[in-house]
Amino acid sequence: MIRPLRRLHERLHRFMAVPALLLFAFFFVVPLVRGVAISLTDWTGLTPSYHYVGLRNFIDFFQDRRALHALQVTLVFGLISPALLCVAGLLYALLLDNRLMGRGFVRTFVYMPAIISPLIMGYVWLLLLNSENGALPQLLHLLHLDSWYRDWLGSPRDALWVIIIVNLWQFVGYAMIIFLAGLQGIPAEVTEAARIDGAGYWQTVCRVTIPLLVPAIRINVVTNLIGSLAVFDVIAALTDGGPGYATESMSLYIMRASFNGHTGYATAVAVLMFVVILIPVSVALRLMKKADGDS
Amino acid sequence: MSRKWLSLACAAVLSAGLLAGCGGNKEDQDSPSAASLSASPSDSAAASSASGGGSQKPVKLSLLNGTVEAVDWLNDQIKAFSERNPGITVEQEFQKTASDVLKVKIASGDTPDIVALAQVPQEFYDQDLFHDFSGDSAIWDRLTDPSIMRTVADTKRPEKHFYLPMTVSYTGLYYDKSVIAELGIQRPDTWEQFVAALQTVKQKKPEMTPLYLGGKDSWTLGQLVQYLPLGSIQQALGVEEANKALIANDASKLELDKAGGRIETFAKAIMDLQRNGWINKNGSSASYDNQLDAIANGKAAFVIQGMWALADILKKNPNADVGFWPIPGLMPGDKPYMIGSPDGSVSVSEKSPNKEAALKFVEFLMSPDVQKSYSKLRNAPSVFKDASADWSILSGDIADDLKTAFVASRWPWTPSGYNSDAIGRTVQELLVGAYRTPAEFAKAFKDNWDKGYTSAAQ
Repeated sequence: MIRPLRRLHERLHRFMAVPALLLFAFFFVVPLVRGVAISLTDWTGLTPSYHYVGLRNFIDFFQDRRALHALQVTLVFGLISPALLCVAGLLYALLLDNRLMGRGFVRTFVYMPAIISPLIMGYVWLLLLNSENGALPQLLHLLHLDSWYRDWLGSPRDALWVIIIVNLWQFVGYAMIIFLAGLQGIPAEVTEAARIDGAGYWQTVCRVTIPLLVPAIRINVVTNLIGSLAVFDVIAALTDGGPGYATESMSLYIMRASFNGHTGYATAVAVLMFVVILIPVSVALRLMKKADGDS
Repeated sequence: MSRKWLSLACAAVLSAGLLAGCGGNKEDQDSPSAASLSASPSDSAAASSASGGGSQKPVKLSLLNGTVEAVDWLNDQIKAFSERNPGITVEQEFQKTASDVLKVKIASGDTPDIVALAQVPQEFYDQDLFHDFSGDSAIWDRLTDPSIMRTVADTKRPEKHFYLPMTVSYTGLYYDKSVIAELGIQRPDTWEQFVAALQTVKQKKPEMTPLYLGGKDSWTLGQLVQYLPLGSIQQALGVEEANKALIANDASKLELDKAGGRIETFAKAIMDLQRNGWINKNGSSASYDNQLDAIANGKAAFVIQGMWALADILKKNPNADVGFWPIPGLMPGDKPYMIGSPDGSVSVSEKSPNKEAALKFVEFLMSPDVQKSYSKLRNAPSVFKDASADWSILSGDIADDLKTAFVASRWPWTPSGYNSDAIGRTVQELLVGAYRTPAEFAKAFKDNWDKGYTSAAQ
């Protein structure tokens, strides 16, 4: 009597996962499989017909100078941005973990931009940086600092850095919150013990705090890596991939290829982008796992 | 135990809801018979009201609009139409990149009933996705110029007409009248004369930008290519022959990468303008809005734009003292150039389940009073004889310009994969020094141009 009931119990448990699995299949597995299938065709997206072309789309990607530049932009943004976010977020968290007057207000103030859409944030910064009537050039003019002004968004070399800084400004609060939660999980006795043993502040941070923050670092690194490698909104708003194609990321390149009648090719690039995101995230997770084990 | 059964019940309800949501939701609708715009509006009105509102099913039409200036105007027309046709509602959707949105909608089987945007990909016309208005003599007989019908004919099948025009829009060279008069500058017909004019402005009015580019909106730079080198091709071959050569990518006629050819000459011209400081330094990051602001408020002597910009120029400065000239010819022997092509196109989906109602709405839009208001809105003359209006403060300028300029009745065709936006990005690259020589630019342009042709279009 008990064994059949146990079997029924186990089957019911498995059945509970079915709705989630169905959702996962509909919204992830099916589109992924279909996407890979389309990536092997010359579908234009404008007509119903297409032909199988094998791996030609993937080969064409590596032979296209503009595509490789988009890959470069994606990697530069996608690797520098998370690093800066983690460092800046950690510094903010360390600062605001202390009993300072107004720290609640500062935490809220620093975090607020993270809840705004990156597209809107991009347009706000576009207004600030506009070379004709932007607030920043006008402010520099008022302060007689015209020589400090440059047309950053019109410079292929500077535009990407502007986007990185805007992204950093927007999401440093998010990284800070994750680190703050991690810091608050560290027992005070541990850091006190280090201090008693003669460790200075930065020694304590480097030798005690950071190793114990590995779970928080993992969350920040993975989420920021994925978000940064897939960046679209802030680039579309600030520079639209320009000037020329200087700040065109892979996601922007995919969108343009798709809407310009090369949907099969665009899907192939999207598959490649999936791999581009998967590799650094996997490497980061392995490193974090190792660091977690060591600590 | 009861908690387990409750969880089981919740999982079952969720699964059922998921499966029900994935089911089809298609309502049965009577497929309308093919209708034409020459059907009497009174017959239609009688038919829609005959049932006294009881048996007639309410119809909802979707309208995709790509022209931001027309949003409010269309809302006004929709309201007026709905008051006269209570059973029909029209829902407008404005999209800045309406051409791209249309591609997605068609690919997902959600074609809007009515489409109002300038650039519908040729591939969609090739598939007969839109209603053919060729038989609607009631419309075509009202045109101010019968050749307009030829201009809006399908490029591959000239016997078909998949959209209706509303106005004729002109492109040209806006200039600051007071400054030009002060400096004694005459209308520049050739590029050399234009460069001399820019030089004069630079020397005598150093605080002004001689020619202002709004290159962040790359389509403004792309249109420069259409006006100058591609417009020169139209002048050399004739508008229709040029169109055929562009569609067929006939390299022998287009000579896009020819040494010393049109594209190289264009690139050299832009590089000279930039090197000599005759254009704004932030040409690649200033926006279209900055460009209009510059000419409206006396910061620039010249901008190259279309008449559609006048309304915004006057909004920025109602007292803006601007004139309008044709664009100087780029190549030796070229006449000054204008595009005077039908604008404000409206199409109806051939497969719309509410095609009759959609055609009725379009008929309303084409009525004389509605067209008069559109003409004033766009600062452009109507294509209809019975819709003439006082459409612009520059109508006199344009009348003079038409006497001397080469007026192209259609825009130079560009491949769907290398439209004016994409072309403009290549010009942005030129402005930021990505190309060391005009020949390099011409080669890149030709490569991009060739890649822009999709297999569907070839």
